[in-house]
Amino acid sequence: MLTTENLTKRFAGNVAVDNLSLTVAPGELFALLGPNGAGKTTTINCLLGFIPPDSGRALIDGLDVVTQPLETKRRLAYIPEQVNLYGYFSGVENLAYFSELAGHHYANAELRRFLAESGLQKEAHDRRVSGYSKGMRQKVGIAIALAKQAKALLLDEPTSGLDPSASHEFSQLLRQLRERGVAILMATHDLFRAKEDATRVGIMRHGKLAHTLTAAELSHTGLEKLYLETMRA
Amino acid sequence: MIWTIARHEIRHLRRDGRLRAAGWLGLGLLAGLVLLGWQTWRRDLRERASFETAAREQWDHQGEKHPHRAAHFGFYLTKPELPLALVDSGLKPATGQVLWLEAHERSAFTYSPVEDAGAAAILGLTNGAEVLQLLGALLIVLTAYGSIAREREDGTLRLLLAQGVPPLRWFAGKCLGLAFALTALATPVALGLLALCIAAQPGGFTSDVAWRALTLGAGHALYFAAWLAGAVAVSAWSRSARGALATLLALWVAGGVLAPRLASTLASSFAPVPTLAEFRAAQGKDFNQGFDGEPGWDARLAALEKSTLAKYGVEKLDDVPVGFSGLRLQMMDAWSERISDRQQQHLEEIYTAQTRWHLATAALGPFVAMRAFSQGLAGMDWPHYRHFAEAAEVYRRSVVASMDQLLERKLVGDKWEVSVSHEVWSRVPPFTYAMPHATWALREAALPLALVTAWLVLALTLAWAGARRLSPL
Amino acid sequence: MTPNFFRLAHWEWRRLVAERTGLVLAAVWCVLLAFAAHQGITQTRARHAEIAAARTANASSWTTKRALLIEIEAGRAQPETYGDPRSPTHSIMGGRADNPIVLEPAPLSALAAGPGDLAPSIRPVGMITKVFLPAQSIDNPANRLAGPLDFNFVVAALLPLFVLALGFDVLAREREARTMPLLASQPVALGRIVAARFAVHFILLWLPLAVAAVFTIAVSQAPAAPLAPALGELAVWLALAAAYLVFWQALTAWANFHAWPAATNALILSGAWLAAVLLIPTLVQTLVQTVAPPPDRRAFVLETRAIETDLFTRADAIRDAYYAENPARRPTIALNEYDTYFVGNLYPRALAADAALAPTLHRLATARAAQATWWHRLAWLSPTLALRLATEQLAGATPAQQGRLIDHARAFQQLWRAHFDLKLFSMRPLTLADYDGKPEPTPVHLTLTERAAAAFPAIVALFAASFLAISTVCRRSFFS
Repeated sequence: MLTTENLTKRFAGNVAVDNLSLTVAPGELFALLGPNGAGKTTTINCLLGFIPPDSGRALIDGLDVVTQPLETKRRLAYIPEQVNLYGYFSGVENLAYFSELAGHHYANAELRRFLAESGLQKEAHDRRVSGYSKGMRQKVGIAIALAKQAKALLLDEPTSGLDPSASHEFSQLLRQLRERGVAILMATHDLFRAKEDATRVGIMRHGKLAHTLTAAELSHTGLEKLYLETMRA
Repeated sequence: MIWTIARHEIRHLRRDGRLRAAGWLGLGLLAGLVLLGWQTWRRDLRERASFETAAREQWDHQGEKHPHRAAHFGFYLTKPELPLALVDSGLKPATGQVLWLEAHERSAFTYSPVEDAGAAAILGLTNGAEVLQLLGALLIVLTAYGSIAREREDGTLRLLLAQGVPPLRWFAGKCLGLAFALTALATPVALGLLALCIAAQPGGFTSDVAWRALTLGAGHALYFAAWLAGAVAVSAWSRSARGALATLLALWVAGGVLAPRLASTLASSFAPVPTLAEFRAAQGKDFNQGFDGEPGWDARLAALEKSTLAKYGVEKLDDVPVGFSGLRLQMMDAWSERISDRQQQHLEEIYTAQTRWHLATAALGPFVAMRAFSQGLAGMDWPHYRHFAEAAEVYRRSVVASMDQLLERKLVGDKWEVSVSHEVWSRVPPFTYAMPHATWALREAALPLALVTAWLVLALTLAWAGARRLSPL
Repeated sequence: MTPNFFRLAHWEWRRLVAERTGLVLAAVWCVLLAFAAHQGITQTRARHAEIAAARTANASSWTTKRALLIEIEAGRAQPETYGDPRSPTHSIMGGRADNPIVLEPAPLSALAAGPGDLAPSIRPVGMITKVFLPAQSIDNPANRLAGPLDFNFVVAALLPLFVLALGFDVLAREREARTMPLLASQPVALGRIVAARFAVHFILLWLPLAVAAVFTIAVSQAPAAPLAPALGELAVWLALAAAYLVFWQALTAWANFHAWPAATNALILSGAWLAAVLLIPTLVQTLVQTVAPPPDRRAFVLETRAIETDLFTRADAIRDAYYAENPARRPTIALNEYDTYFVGNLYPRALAADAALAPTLHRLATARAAQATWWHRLAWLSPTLALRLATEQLAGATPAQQGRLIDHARAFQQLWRAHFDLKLFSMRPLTLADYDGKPEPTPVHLTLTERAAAAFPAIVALFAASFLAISTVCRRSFFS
């Protein structure tokens, strides 16, 4: 579903992503670990079509992101690290707008259902987003991703800023999505969440995938140890 | 400490390339317009002198003629201008280039440049003073809009206040720095303009003109200070630099571009000038029927005839030993002059009401008031034109009266035709005129100056209030 | 299914309403339009009223004289000393007998109310009227200097500001608020969203303008004039306004493509406005005044007076020459000293003066035409200039068009003189036939073809600028 084939991207001489090939199948959750500057965000931007790769391809459902930008975006949902919405619209209005852009015209009740599913309290639905906290905005972002009914989901640091209970709820959501057959790529610093939610884990360093392993292969401490060793090497 | 902050500010401004570019552009435009104004003014000075001589010569050599027809041949005069007019040409594009003096008609400005060039002439900025006031204010806005707001956005304000800098002191330092930088820019400009004014007419730069120039400079200082204080105030009150810029630009457009147009629309709607037909009709009615219970022309003529016959003890007008036509003309001129004064008074009241409406739009910004003040001090506003027209009117009346008296002397009875030789024309004294003093000009321009000062006070108050509640959030 | 353009526009409209600034700007725009409409309506109505009053006054004065003539001829009334309708010198010399030659305000004259009050629409013409003399004005020069708040000014100078205020951060805002990633990851081309936004702005600004303009033209038309042609012309002008609007929108879009911060956009676009509306017109004005200076009126005054003196000294010779050419005009009766002067001195001199002044007046007209040509040549430098010139030409408000009035007045004066001067010179009394057969003044109409032809260069300049701007913008990709 989500594939990169020998993806390479350079910025001002530095290699951000170096010949990266990974695949995320439907129902899989691939956690991408790595420090800042490892190339996680660049990979995601390439998959989103925001940045054209220097060589290699990024594919969504077999379609090349560069040649078919709109088709690929239709199949892809994205939750950025900082979910910034239109402050003068309410939560429902933001969801309605982005959903309509994605090609889905939902009734008001359905929109509210999505918001409830993502954990946003009912009183907040009609308030202006300019008054939302970071967590509330994130929940709207999740609702937008859910409402898109996409086959692939890209997450950039989704749990940063979420308290443990919200983080847990989010985990449940991801499980449900996996069961529906959505392919999920999650870039994160959160080792605990990666071990808990992911089917496979990849550790990136200097634009390359240093290690790829299934989540079952390692324990929590084992993962941390492997991560630190990779970074020190 | 204030001085440290000020120095920092000046250094920061000097390094800003965009401001330098904007400053040079504005300076270039100002220089261009002022130099052009200088050239035009000097040419105008020569042409005015030669025109006056030529026109007088034409009067002197108009040949043997009936005195009343000579009065209709009339005089053409031009209003003298101070060297300051090359910077602020004021009402010149809209008033006539020459003043026409003729019998039976009140002296009137004719041939205004806008009539010949059409509305295209009032498209852009017409003189150096307008550029200085409009674009100078814009430069101040661009320099000062981010002074507080950007520091707040960048987060440096937070650091400064956490460092223990007293907010009011910091604010004062900022303002001082800005003021210094702008004064450093303004001083050579002011001196340059002054030098040009002196060079334009070396003999014409009297102490009176010097006082006017000084007052003009002081007025501009107040005006620019008001803009600086206002820009800093808006910057202090705004949450973002963007918001400050938007607000200031909106104020600049409202006060500088919209207000003058709005002023003329309001004035013509609420204090309309009568149409020429109505004006003439009113004069004609007063002439024929009298006013305020006074008798009209027919009654007066009858009374004159009776009194003249009685005075000389004759039965018929033909037997009167003096020219009755001369007596009749003198009475007609005296009567029509009274009516003309009355109608003109009425018109002037309308003009005054219109000026009040113009100054009312100073609520949108100080530009309109500053224009009025600047025109007044440069000697190119309506009170100056009116002063000249009134002096010319006195001259016209004396010339026409002397022509009428000539008729009285040279004719007998009710005869009309007579010719006089041209020594008579040469004996008519030349028109002398002294421009009003700086104090008079200042008195006439007192209200606009007060409005500019009011804006300064308002801006300073807002700035001080903004400084008091300065917060890094 | 991808949302169609109307849905996108619907969302942009909802966004505009939710964000109050757009509504505030729209409200201010409507207030300005109201002012412009008021100005246009009152000005044009005043002109129509003035024309009607002049015509009525003239008609009634002739009717009164005619009635008095009938009474006198029937022996029922006595003529006054200076008011005998049978005497040529009483009836047709002097200002009371002047006919108003009228320049009918063009249908679109309410759009450019400015120049209307610079030159009057009525020229009184009589036997010895000096048609070349300027019309007097008692207007306050301070009022004339700035010009009024008419549609021409509001659209040419202020509309761009509203376009900029609404659109300067169309993309920059998304970047700065960091809503861009979420927006860009939707399967809608950013270009379509931006286009929808600009479409909403266009409607918000152009629609009230169209409504206000239609209202103004409809209300300010002369009572008897048909409305349809005026509205047709207005459609042309509204198309010009639309092209102008789109030009500024294209410029705004161009600025947004460069991923500059919104504040930089604002500064650059404000700079463009300043250049187009203030700086370039100032430079062009200065250039035109240097290259094609306005007629030197002082020299004109000296020339006219020199001619006057010359003719005065040769008055007898002129009179004799006139009688030699027109023997039928030689007086057949003895005249008193007043009539001798009018008939034997003033009138022939007036005719000679017209001939002598013809070259001077021709030079003035040439100077004015040269100025107009230069303005049109330089209209390419700024779309604002082009729009203003086009509007003025369409509104029939330029000095060249005023010149038509003077020409027409002079032509009428020939007819008038031809009808009356035989009676004047022979001092024979006027009869009812003379009154009934007198030439009636016809108004000057500036036809649409003439006005459109005059406005053509400026119109082309404006459309070219718009087209250039749009094509430049469309060629660039919309992805930031």
